[in-house]
Amino acid sequence: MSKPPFQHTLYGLRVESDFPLPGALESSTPGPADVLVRRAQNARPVASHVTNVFELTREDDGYVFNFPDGVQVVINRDATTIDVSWPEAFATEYAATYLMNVVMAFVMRVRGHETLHASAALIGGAAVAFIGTSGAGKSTIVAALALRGFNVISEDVVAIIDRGVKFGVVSAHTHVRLWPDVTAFLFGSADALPLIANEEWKRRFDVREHFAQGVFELARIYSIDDRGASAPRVEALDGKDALLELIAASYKSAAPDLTMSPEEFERLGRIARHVPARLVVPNAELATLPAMIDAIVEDLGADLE
Amino acid sequence: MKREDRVTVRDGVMFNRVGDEVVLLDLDSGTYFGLDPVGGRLWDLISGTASIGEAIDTMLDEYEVEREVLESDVLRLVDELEQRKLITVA
Repeated sequence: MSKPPFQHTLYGLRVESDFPLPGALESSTPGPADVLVRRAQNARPVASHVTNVFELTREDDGYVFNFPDGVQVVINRDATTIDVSWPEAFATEYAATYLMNVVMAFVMRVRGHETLHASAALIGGAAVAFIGTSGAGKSTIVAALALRGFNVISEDVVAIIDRGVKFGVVSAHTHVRLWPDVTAFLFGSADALPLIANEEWKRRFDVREHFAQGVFELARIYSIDDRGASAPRVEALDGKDALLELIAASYKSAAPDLTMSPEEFERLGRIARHVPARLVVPNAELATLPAMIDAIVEDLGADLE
Repeated sequence: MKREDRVTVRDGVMFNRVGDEVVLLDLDSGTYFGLDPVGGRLWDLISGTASIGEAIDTMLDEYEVEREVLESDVLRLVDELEQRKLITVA
């Protein structure tokens, strides 16, 4: 891939962009693009300085993300075009990293798909999703699974294709973002992996060699609990607790009005009824990560036999 | 509250049943309310056609519990749902 336009596959969409998207797989199949990504020369006026992680506003012709550092992403009403502007001093890769998770989660929601703040891996031929609060270990788990030889489907955003009583998880991109301590534990040194373009600390683990491309049936959801003092374990998660965990994991930060629609509530209920869920209780020590992976694989293995 | 009172679920309240349990969503406020299996069964009855008294009678047949205990639990739950503006009672 050497010159624009660049053809990617990202969250199951054919994305054509006039700049490279880090971690997105190159698309080799012909066909019209589902989404066009372009660099905008001029940003839209911003009412006031953005102080949150980002601000998302709805305008007559679409939606606008404004990030504190001046990066702006404008998405049209049906999420078929994405115009990105950024300060001249920033590298293209820096601006492109904004697209890969929170913006694409929003694009998938506008296109009618459920999106969870979650990671996913392929185990035993089926997709397994990991939900939890920021810092719970969603990225750490899929990175550890990749090093065990399992394939990663997505990190940070799980986009779900609704098939009624079955649900498909669609591949995202190949970059898993890891904190320095996790990088040091998994790879021997925090410097073993390159920094993510706009980050001072988080490292980029490219799982291209352990990446599952396609759409995979969602077979299990693991909710990562707060870290405890005992050995890592997997427990039952049923009924309303499973649904409430899914609701909390819904990528609502990417919803235009930050509320849940009736359709989404109904869909999350169906997911809770038809996809088994478990609670994973990690130990506070990173050294117990292999034992937690063992517990997850054992839990799945018993069900997949 | 009286035995013959019936419950009306407020517009804008949705519910999802997962197994024996129910999660209610108030679309206006964006808040959620979870009901355990007993609460979920009560919800099924009062959000249908049963009066509060009929729901209590039905649940007495289904659960091994003293009438006074069940009545207190039912009335407390109905009152809480009303306080949270998820239902009206009349």
